[in-house]
Amino acid sequence: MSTQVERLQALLERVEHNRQKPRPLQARPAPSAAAQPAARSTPEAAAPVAPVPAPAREVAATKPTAPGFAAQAAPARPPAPSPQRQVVVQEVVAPPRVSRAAEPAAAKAPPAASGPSLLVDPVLDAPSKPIAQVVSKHPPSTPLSFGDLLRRSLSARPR
Amino acid sequence: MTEPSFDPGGFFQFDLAKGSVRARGGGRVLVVAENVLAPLINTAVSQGDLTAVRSLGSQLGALVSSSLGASPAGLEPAQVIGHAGAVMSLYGWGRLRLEQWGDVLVLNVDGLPPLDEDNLAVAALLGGLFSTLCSTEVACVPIGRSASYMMVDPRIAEQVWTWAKEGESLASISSKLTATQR
Repeated sequence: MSTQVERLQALLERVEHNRQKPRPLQARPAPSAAAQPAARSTPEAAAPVAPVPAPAREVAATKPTAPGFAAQAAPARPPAPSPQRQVVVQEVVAPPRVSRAAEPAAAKAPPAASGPSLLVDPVLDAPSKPIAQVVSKHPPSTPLSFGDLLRRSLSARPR
Repeated sequence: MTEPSFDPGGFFQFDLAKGSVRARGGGRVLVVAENVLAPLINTAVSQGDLTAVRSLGSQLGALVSSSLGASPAGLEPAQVIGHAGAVMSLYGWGRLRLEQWGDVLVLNVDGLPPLDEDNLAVAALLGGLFSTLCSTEVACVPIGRSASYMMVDPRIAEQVWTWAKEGESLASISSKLTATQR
């Protein structure tokens, strides 16, 4: 019985430890996952370069208007510690279309930090009038009492 | 919710010294096994006399009326059926529900063991209950083997019973009936 308790305690500690562990960046897997279809379409571009920079270049080519990636290209950001992140910043800033699209997106997007960042959806404007309206030409029906229902039932006759 | 709900607490009192069981209101009851009651009911049905069962229904109706504290005519259907169902459950007569099929009310009693072939005993019990509760004559006609009982005027009960014996469904029978001005 005590060994079972000890095992349970160890399991709980492990769960707690895993819960407190910092999660990996959401942006990090995205470039490699998104770049795989692009890599399939342009294998010759990916082949000669190192695996770390190549996905970042292809992400910039295939997704020039992605606000999440463009937001990471803000020039005022301090240099990130990992080399992969530096490559992403350089490649996204280069095309002019990306920089113009990045300005309003960068204004709305949260400032970058060295740690994990979240993608924030743009705030929707409040509707000027109700989105849906239910209009009925019949007045709301008043609920019938038990006596009314019974009276109607007892008055029923064959047609 | 402002309507008072049925309070089953202390409904039965067991006096072991005297060997008696009394229900709320003081009436004495006997606890009888279903395999003893069923043959008695079958005998009564075969003799065409279900007066005793209808009388039991009337007693239950009086209990429901006293627990409601007001005439059921002005109350919500859910409240009336809630109290009636609670009393029936306490006496072991299954679970009561109310349905509306067109203009007709239909009672549904499930969870009962089979007492007689055509469910005439339960029909008599329900007829006695609601006639006393509502202070008007109500016939509860069993519809097939479906544990459903149509609440109609006793003057058309025979016609509805004939349709049911011919195998017509609840939907079919209710479509043949239309409410008229009483």
